[in-house]
Amino acid sequence: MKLAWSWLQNYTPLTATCDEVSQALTALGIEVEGIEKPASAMNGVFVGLITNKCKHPQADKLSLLSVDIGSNSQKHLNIVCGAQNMQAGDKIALATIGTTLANGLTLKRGNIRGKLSEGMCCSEAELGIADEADGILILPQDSDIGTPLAEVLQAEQAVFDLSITPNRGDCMSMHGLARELAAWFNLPLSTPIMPDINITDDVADIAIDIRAEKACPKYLGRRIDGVNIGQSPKWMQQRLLAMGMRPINAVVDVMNYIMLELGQPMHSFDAAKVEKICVRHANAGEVLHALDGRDINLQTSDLVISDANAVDSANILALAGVMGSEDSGVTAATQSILLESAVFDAATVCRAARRTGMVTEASMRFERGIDANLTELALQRATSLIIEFCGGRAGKVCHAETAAKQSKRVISMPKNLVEHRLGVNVPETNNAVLKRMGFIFESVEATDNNQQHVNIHIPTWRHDVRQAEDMVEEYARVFGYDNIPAVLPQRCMRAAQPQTHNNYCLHVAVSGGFLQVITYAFISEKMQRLFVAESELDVVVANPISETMSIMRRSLWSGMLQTAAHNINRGQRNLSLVEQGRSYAKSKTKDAACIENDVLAWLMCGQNKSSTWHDTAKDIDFFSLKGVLEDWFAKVGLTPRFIAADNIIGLQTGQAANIVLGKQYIGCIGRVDAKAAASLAVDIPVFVAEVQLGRIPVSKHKRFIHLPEFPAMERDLVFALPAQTSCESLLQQARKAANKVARKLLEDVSLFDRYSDKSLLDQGQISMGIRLSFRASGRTLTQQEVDAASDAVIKSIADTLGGSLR
Amino acid sequence: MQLQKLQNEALQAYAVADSSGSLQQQQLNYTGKKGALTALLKHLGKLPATERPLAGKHVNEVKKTLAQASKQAQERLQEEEETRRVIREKVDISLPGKRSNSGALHPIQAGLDEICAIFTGMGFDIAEGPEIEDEFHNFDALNIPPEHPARAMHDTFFVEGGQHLLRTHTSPVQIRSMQNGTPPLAIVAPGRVFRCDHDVSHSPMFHQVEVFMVDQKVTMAELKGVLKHFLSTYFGRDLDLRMRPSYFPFTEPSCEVDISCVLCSGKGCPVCKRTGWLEVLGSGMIHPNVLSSVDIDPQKWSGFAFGLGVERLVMLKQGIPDLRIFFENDVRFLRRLGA
Repeated sequence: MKLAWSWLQNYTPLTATCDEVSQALTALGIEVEGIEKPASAMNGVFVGLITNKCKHPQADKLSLLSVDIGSNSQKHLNIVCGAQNMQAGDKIALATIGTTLANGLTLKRGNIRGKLSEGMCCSEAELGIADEADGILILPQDSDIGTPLAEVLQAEQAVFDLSITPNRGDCMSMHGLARELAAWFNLPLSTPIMPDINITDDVADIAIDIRAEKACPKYLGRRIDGVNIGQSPKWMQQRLLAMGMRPINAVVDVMNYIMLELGQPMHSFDAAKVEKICVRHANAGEVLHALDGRDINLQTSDLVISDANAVDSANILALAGVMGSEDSGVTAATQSILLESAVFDAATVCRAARRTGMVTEASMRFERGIDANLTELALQRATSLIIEFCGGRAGKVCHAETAAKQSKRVISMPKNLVEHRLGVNVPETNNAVLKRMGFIFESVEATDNNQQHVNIHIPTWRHDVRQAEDMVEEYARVFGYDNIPAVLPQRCMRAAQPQTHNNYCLHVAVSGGFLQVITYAFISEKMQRLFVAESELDVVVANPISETMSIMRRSLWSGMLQTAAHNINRGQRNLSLVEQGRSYAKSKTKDAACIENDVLAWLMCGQNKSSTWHDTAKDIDFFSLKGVLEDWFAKVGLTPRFIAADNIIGLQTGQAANIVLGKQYIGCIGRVDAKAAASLAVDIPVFVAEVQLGRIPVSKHKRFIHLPEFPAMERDLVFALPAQTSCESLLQQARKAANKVARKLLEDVSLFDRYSDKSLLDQGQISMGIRLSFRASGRTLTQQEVDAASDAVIKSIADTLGGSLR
Repeated sequence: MQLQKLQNEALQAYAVADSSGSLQQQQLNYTGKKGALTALLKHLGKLPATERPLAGKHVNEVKKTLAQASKQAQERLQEEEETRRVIREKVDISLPGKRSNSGALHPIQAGLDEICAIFTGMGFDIAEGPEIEDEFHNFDALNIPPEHPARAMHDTFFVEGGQHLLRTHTSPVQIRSMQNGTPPLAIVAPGRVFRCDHDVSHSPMFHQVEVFMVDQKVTMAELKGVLKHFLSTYFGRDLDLRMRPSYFPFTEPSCEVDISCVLCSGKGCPVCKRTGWLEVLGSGMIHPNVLSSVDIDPQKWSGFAFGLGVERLVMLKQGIPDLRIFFENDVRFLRRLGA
């Protein structure tokens, strides 16, 4: 929404500066997105008369001009000009030396191919009044030489670009904005001039039939015969242009002008094409051939203006409040017109405009709600302007009003509510501003619960003020938000938990040397299928931005693998990434419900670090990531088991495992399989893991235990074992055997070496070394106890696993 | 005389010994079993008894002196040896250190954590809610009826087949918290939100933090106090705050909150579009219709609420020019700006 300075001045005599008005608008809740100053862009540009024109001796395409700009010196300015469209005797816009043009160029005295140039003849583009121009601007002959161009063109001093919030339909007009500013600056407010209109009896009435009472509470129509439609006057065209609208013809321009002036959208029909007005909901199958050339298929919820109720014989004249039809519109040839000034239901217009994608100036006003009292005023004003510009004879106003007259809204507000809500006492003096905005105050003696109330009559244009809290905002606005003090709450606050479970889990992972990534929650179908086979449980976005963001991820790995590929392509191959986020799936049991799971996921690839002067880098493998997870689990106080799994989608068989806590699955780990890696052209081994955070216990406070007082004894045993023996089975067997012999003395058993060479391999064997650690609480162990346990382990490994001590 | 000469010789020999080995050899030469002094001592018995005490005394003095000298020489040698060791072990301290890989939180996460910490420090509890929401929690309960123009402004992503959508803001957590709890409530709700918009300044997924308080007679002055405290703490300096009347369906009165530009200190720069102000969040007093929608009596309770965009705050604080870089997750960016 634009606001033109000169137009504002028509209603209230503003003396404030541009910046002051801008601040006032901001304080009133109207956001100023920008201010254009077309007039100041023309500073230094004057009307000039070309007194002489000849060819530049050195350049075919250049002309030498003498230009009189009426300065005191008799000397005319010498101008070298490249345009072709001017003759001696033309009046042009001459920018003098020192002028800064709209494109930011500042003119200097120049020498063009040996000829002095003391200024420049401007085109409309150079003046910033058109996007492009063909040749320089030729001014009307009656322009006075030496007059500043801004005066001749009646350029606006300022045009504000405003953002009007959806609740303030009343500010979608010059008059509405003037009302706010006049109230703020305590200035008088005048209404547009409204001359009497002579009504001609021989102009036919229009039959108005409203069949959709809720959607159209009020419809006024008037016929004007014998119009001669030409261009609207220059001043009106300029205002429309300043407001960003294109002049069409005198009638259409008046419709737009009234809408901008008063906020009442209007429409004009060619009366020859309209027999009667039927306001009704559309029937299925009906089509609007819209003004913009599109065919709109209508729905039964749409409100239309038609010339008949019967479907087969009806022409759709307009989608009410949105756009008219192509053939019923007013053209230069139209002789009789039909004006519409109506109230359409906000929700109905909003729905139709959004669905059809035709968000028009009219629909934006209707959907914010318009003042029902404006319809008459707007129709009268439009009639008088059209008769002034086009002649013609006006018929009488034909009127249809279905709903009961808009009842006056009165809000009863407890007197202390404003202070309770704002935390500051707003002095009564602010009522004066509200009164100027149209609110009427009425003190009420009667009290309810000893609370003093005030009755406030709400002006008809303020659809947004519906309850007492809305009045609180009005008070706050005129009092000034800046005048509200800043006070810290002095309330009994509870001691809050500073961190969530998920956040704690993430922090532990990051402290393990991982970079946290945040990837999109939606991915492509192709990425989804890398790690989740079946698609029935996918949560699909109905209106995605693109296919690559169309399905809610069921595994974080998809996005992380893409991130890895992105980095690998940029030479960053050593990656340790972690992400904490949700995976999404449809519920298997409940219809339509979606399940969100909190997941922590890891990805590693490349080398553990770059090679340095003191250390060589090692390739990341399965155990690099497994170790990371073991560290992570140790920190959060859990000891889960890793169980080999061959059927995890997207992971390579033989390098994948489920992670199990007790009997519950809590996550998995493995190497991304060749197919998934290849789909992103990743050419190095990538390892991933994930843990379902919802399935692991909330970390409890760790408890103190006494540090051991007596020393431990260790025994290292190295076995030659069948090659397929798993580490886990060896440790388990050792633990079992030691515990049998020396109850409660075995503190730990761990693998310290794993080795194979050719001679071992030839025998189908590998070597594994385990370290048994024994400790008794409260005494020192004896050699015999430990030896007995070790012997038992050696025997048991030999018996059960076929291992021999090396 | 012979004794004196021996002492001088020995002292000289000890002084020039250049290693503990040669010192040891010299010690043996003089005071060892077959040493010169030992020989003299043996010779002592042959002296007349009257001379013996004096001679013995002299010999003992020499012995003592030599022992002293030997100790000094030893210390000197140790010192020299230490000096040599230190020189030998000198390193080029300009060589790079042995670093371990250190991790980092994503800048957005660090921002979220920092924001939440400020509020938990003030006594606000953290709450979270679903990212796939229903229309009631995302719109209806927040006083945004189906045909409301504000609903169209939200650019909602819908989920196929059903009534679900991707939440467009974290305000549904406000509704859920009020449904699950009873006032007084003070909640900070961080989370991911989604809007159907993708360009330099919009990401289809971004992060918000919703903050609200419901109690008896909560005032706008308190809202302003909490905002000022939060923003000044987050940006680490006392900031000017500007509240502008605005419109959100779920608050009344509503206000946009601007801070004096953190880049130009309010003088005007391209980031603040030369206004000196930066729009950072929307806020207001919770609309009575919102309280009523979750059966909280608006006559008795009131509250404030605000929602802030985490990306924007982080961008302002760390001077990040483009929103999209957050989700590219380039590790060079994460290492440099992560925390």
